[in-house]
This record gives sequence, structure tokens and C-alpha cells, in this order.
Amino acid sequence: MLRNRRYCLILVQESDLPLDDLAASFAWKALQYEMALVPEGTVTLLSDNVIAGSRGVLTPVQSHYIDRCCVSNADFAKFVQAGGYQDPTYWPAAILPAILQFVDRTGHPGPRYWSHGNPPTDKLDHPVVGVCWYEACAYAAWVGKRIPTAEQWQRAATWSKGHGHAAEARYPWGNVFDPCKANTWASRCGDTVPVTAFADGNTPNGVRQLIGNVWQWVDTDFHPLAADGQAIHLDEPMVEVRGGAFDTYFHSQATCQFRTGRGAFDRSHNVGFRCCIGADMLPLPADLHLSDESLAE
Amino acid sequence: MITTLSQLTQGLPGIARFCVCCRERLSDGDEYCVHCLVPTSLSQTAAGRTGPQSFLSVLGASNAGKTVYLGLLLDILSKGSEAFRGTTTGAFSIDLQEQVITALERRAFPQKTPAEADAWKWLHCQISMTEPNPKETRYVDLISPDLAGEAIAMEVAQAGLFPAIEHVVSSSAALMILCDSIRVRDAGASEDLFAMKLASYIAELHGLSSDRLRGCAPAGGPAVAIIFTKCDQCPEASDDAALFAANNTPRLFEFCKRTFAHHAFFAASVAGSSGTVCDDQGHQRRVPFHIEPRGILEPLQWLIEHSPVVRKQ
Repeated sequence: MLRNRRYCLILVQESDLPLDDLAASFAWKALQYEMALVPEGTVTLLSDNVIAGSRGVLTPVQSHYIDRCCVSNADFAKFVQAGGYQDPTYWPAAILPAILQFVDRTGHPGPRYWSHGNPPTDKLDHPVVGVCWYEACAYAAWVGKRIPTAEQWQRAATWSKGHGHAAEARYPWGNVFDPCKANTWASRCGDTVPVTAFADGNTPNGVRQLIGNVWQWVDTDFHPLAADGQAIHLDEPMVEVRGGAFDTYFHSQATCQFRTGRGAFDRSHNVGFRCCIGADMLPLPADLHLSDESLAE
Repeated sequence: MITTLSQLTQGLPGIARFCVCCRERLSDGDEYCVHCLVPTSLSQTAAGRTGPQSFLSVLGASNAGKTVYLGLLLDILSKGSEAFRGTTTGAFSIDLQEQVITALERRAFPQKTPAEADAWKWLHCQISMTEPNPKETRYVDLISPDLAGEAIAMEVAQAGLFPAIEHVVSSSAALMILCDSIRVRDAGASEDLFAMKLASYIAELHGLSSDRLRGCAPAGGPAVAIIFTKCDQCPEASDDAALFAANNTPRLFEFCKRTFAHHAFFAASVAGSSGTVCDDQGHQRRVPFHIEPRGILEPLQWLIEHSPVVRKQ
């Protein structure tokens, strides 16, 4: 389970396997290595007002752990190989018939741009793309996590300057865009890069690529609003995506606050995801009878 | 003959100037060519340039996305790498770029282009292409108007109504036909037929006719790129544009095969996702939620490679 990065299942003790304290200590260490603690606080969510300017709504966020990196092709391959697409446990009943259409270029279950159920060998460490929101949620459930909500994602990305500077920064590194810190159109990469690239754009607690490389699915419906007397009709139900991607043209659309959406079934070339878990879901190391020494080991 | 600045300032008659489009003589003080309504500022800029110049025609039905395509193309070129870059030659060229980019960043598409020829925005830019090994830079000046779809339709139906269109199309070594991929997919044969009208208008002005006996296109002629726009909402077009054309615009596909020796199909999009805004009166308009251009530059690169207008330095 640890090899497949399913350590959260050990920590929340959802596994059927008898696991001892040693397993728990390894799981805890894996979590600390793979995820970053985002302390509780508030974020200002801009209303999804597409037409008439946006107003901010102060929204509380509980503390949670968020993946330091987006889920990579190699990570997602473990889910595919474990039969995740065939296991109804991880999918909502209403969309079960649609899973038959979640296939790769060769008709095998898997992300849209894979072949024969395998990712491109030169992109194992790139973020997985070509997965719809439901596939992202299924993977998250398989590893014992979930997709962050819009406010959880934004809380992880935005860092104020401390007391007296409550305003959220536009980017994890500050308020000024820098193409060396995020893979967007301005960086001229023209494609995804490994999930560990652009390290200069990390948050202070080591979360990578919250801006750029791929849009990230979040667990919030996208309901854009228009001015009075107007309504916005969507062609299909949309879910929010955050952070911008390698082909995001305007850096004003790749900020920590910018909200946009994609169809929930879209399997796009530039949308990936990362997972999170509420801190209250996890037992404290003391409850697991883990000493500081065992964690240090 | 006036050859020095001092002669000009001594009240002597001005230098004879000609419209870059229709080659008619321009009178002093005219802001537009009286014949084809091309801005005099464009003709002045073009006259001051050396090296190869070519018109680029961007044709398509109303609402096919010509303005957005051209404005974004110009913006991408202006931020391009050394390998393929565009530099505007005058402030007037930036008007179109500014109009489109400002609107898109505010999550709106720009206003429709007016049908009146004197309201069209023109772009004039120098494209430079540098190849690394051996290092070699090629240049070409492109001139292109943002034509109104309604005007194109009227000109095709009754030639001569808009002289600028006729002159630009007949002078273009590179042409683009934009087709709305959603209308192609959903609205029956109308988009196919209109695109074929445009293709035959081009063929007529370039003196081309399909070689029916041999079933292939006559040699020479302009390079024509057929671009399916809005493919963010029609992924079938971006998966394989030529196959999409063969299956969904069979008339245009066959006509191009028989008429244009150099033609290719492309797919392009600007928005990552979009929706429709409806007001109380029932008016509808699309709004882009975010911008992620795809396939904007490729048609131009292909056209330049297949047009005899580039020079080496």
C-alpha cells in the first residue's frame, strides 16, 4: 500500500489488513514527505461573476494536508493496473455506464492520451492529463484521499505576508508574475513538464506547481454569474479548475484567485489534479503511539 | 521629381502615392483611398518598406472567428521566439491586437466587425523566421484586413461591391478560409456550401479552374489554409482536421483537392471553455471563461512555407 502511495488508508485504518505500529510510522512519514500541512484560516473566494466584475467572499478553511505534487502518470498507472476502472467502489453509481467511455487511444481503460493502458514512457513523471473529474475523484478515493475544494486549494496556494498584510498574494511566491516560476504560455515550454519542475514557484511549505503546468480539478461546481438581467447557460455541468496550465495565455488567468470551469466529463490535454485529506481525518502521531524517535527514524 | 525633404517643405507638389491595395493614385489629404477605402496610413507604411510584401486574406462567414483569429495571431507573433516572430510596422496595426486581447482578457469576444470598409482594421507586420543551423533569417511583410463576414458574403454574391476584398484576394499569395467547426458539425451543409463559394471566388480571381480530366489541381496558384475554428467545442476537428473536412465538408474538400495545388486543413481554438450569456430580450452571445489558444500559428507557418514570398538574408 505504501508503494502505491495509499498511506492515508493505513493512517485512517480503513484497510482490512492487520497493520502494526511500524506500518503506521512509515505511513505517517510518507504522508509528511508527500503532503504539506495547510493550516486553518480564511480565503477570499471571488464570486464566479464572469460579466460584471467579481466580489470577494471571506470563506473559512479547516486545516488539511495537500499533495505537494500533482498526481503523475506513474502514480495513476498504479490505479489503472490495480483495476481501478473496473472497481465500482470508486465511482458514483450514476456514472457507471460512462466508465466504459473512459478509455485511452487504443480503447483500454485509462487516461485519454495513453496507449494500451500505459502512459507515455517519456512522461512518467509528468502530471496525468486526459482524465475527467470523475476519474480524478476515483483515484483520490483509491488512495484514501479526496479532491480539494476550491477554498482548500486556494488556502494552500495563497500566503499573506503575515499580520497587517491580510491580502492574499496573487501567486504562491508573491504578487508579480514570473514565467520562470510557473509553466504557462509565457514560459514557452508548450507542453507539460515533470511535476517537480519550476521549484522556484513552490509555496513556502513546499507545494509545487499550484500555478501552471496543468489546471487542477477541485471539488466545487462552477456556476458563473452574470450581471442583472442576464443569465449564463453552460453547455454541460461544469466543475471548477484552478491554477492555469502550460497553455494559459493570460497570466491574469493563472492566479491563485482566478476561477474557471471545465465540463465534468472533459478529458482535456491540460487538466490534471492533486489530492488532499482533512487534518481531522488523520489520527495524531501520539494516538498512533509513535514517538518522535520512531518518526525520526 | 521631389528627392529631398527641403523640396517638400517649400510648397512643391507632394510625392505621388498609390494605394497599396488597388494601386490607384492617392490624393493629398485623403485618409482613405477613394476607390477601395484602404487607409492611407497603411499605404504610406507599405511604401516605405523594402523586401517582399504579401497580402494575407482571411475569409469566412460572419461569426466564423476572423477578428479573434487575426488579433490573437498578431499578439502571439509579437511575443514569439526568434524562430518565428512578427513585428508590427505601425500603430494602426496594434488597434486590432488591442481590441481582441483586451476583450479576451476580460472574458468577452470582441465586437462584430462593421460591414463598412472604412471601419475595417488593417494589420501590417514583418514576419521573421530564423533557422538555427545554419543560422539564417527570412523575412516577409504581411498585410491583412479584418474583413466583415457580411461584406465578404455580399462581395462573393456580387463582385465589385467591395473593391478592397477583390484586390486583397487577388493579390494574396496566402489565403485562409475560416469555418466554424460547430456549424459544420451541427448546421447541415450551409457552412460547407459557403466555404466552397469562398474557395471558388479565390479560384476565379486567381484564374484557376479544377482539372477535371486529371482529377487534380493545376500547378501553381496561391496557398490556401482551411481552418476549422472553435474546435475547443468540437474536438473531432482538432483530432484530424483533414478527416473532419472530408467527412463533414465534402464539397469543399473535393473542390480544394481539384483546384488548389497547395492547400491544407487545420483546426484552431481560442477558449479553454465557454458559455452563453442570455439577456431579458433573448439576445445571446458566447463568453470565453479562459483563454488557451490552439492551432493559431500553425496555419500561418504552413502558408509562409508554401508561398513564394519569403526572402533569405
